[in-house]
Amino acid sequence: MDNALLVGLILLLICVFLSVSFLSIGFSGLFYGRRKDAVLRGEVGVVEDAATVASHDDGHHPTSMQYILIALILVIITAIEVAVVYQGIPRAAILLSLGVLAAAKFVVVVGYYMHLKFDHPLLTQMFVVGFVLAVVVFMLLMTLFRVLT
Amino acid sequence: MEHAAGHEVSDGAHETTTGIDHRKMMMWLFLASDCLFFGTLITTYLVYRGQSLEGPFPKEVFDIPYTSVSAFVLLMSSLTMVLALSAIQNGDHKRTRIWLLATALLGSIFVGGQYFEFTTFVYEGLTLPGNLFGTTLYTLTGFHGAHVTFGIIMLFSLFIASLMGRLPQSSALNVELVGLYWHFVDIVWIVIFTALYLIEA
Repeated sequence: MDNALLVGLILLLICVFLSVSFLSIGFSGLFYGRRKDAVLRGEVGVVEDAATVASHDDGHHPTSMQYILIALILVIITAIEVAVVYQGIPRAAILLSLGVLAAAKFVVVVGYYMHLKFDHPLLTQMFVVGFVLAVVVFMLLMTLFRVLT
Repeated sequence: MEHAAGHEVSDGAHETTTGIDHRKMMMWLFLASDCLFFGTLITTYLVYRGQSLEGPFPKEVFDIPYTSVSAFVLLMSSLTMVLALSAIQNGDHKRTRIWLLATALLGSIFVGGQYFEFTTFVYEGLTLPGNLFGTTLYTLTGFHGAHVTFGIIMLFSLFIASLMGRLPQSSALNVELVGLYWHFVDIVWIVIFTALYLIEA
């Protein structure tokens, strides 16, 4: 029973991480492609192109107050995580909740504190490749050692 | 377009074909590879979870409230780190130093807490060669602690460079690179805190 619950948590984590990863690639690629097309059509000048398409940064970083607000959200999520494990709810529900909450924190920190949301899409794609490879290694090892069966 | 594609835009340091500073690209590649490093360590812990033939076992030694405070401290250090970056990008060197020092101190508190936790574990009989739980736990959290320690050294280096006037606003990328490393260490702990500690509560 315990192994079955663990398998559930693992599969959920993988699904959430992969979904977020591929969505981020898709959205960032879409944004980059549109900018590039606009440049090729001449709708965006070379100067603007240099400042946006080829830039490492679109310049729209959160303000200090927004950073503090993000930290508050992260603290609240952490508090919910700790509170969840002490509730008398089924273990499967606890594991599912923990997976979702951890994934949410992960995405918020990477997206806002590490600025991937505002940075060049290539950086997101590089990081996602490493991350997805790590998940694949994780799944292979868990299968090899029969934790998933 | 050619001009745009090959144009450099990061801190005026050097031209690159992608428009991304090579140092920043290198840091992200390193972080991507570090995903694999910690991914395998976390997987190893989970593969051997519950396989120890003799104690102490996780439920006997883990102190969830204590580790929760550690996680909170590391989370707050991410906030101070990003505030340090924001400050230097705005040319506010005084606040840059304050936030860099705060981040280093919060990181030191985390590492100190981990040292205390390890000491307690050993006192309760959990050693590195003692059982599978001890081996996988110390290896994973030890490497994470080593990463944090290295980050603290880099933070203090930046703080000292700033004190000596060698960290101008044009060098904000240096703070950003250390910040990327620091936030990555934080997200690794987010996963460890959930996959190792909370799962046992």
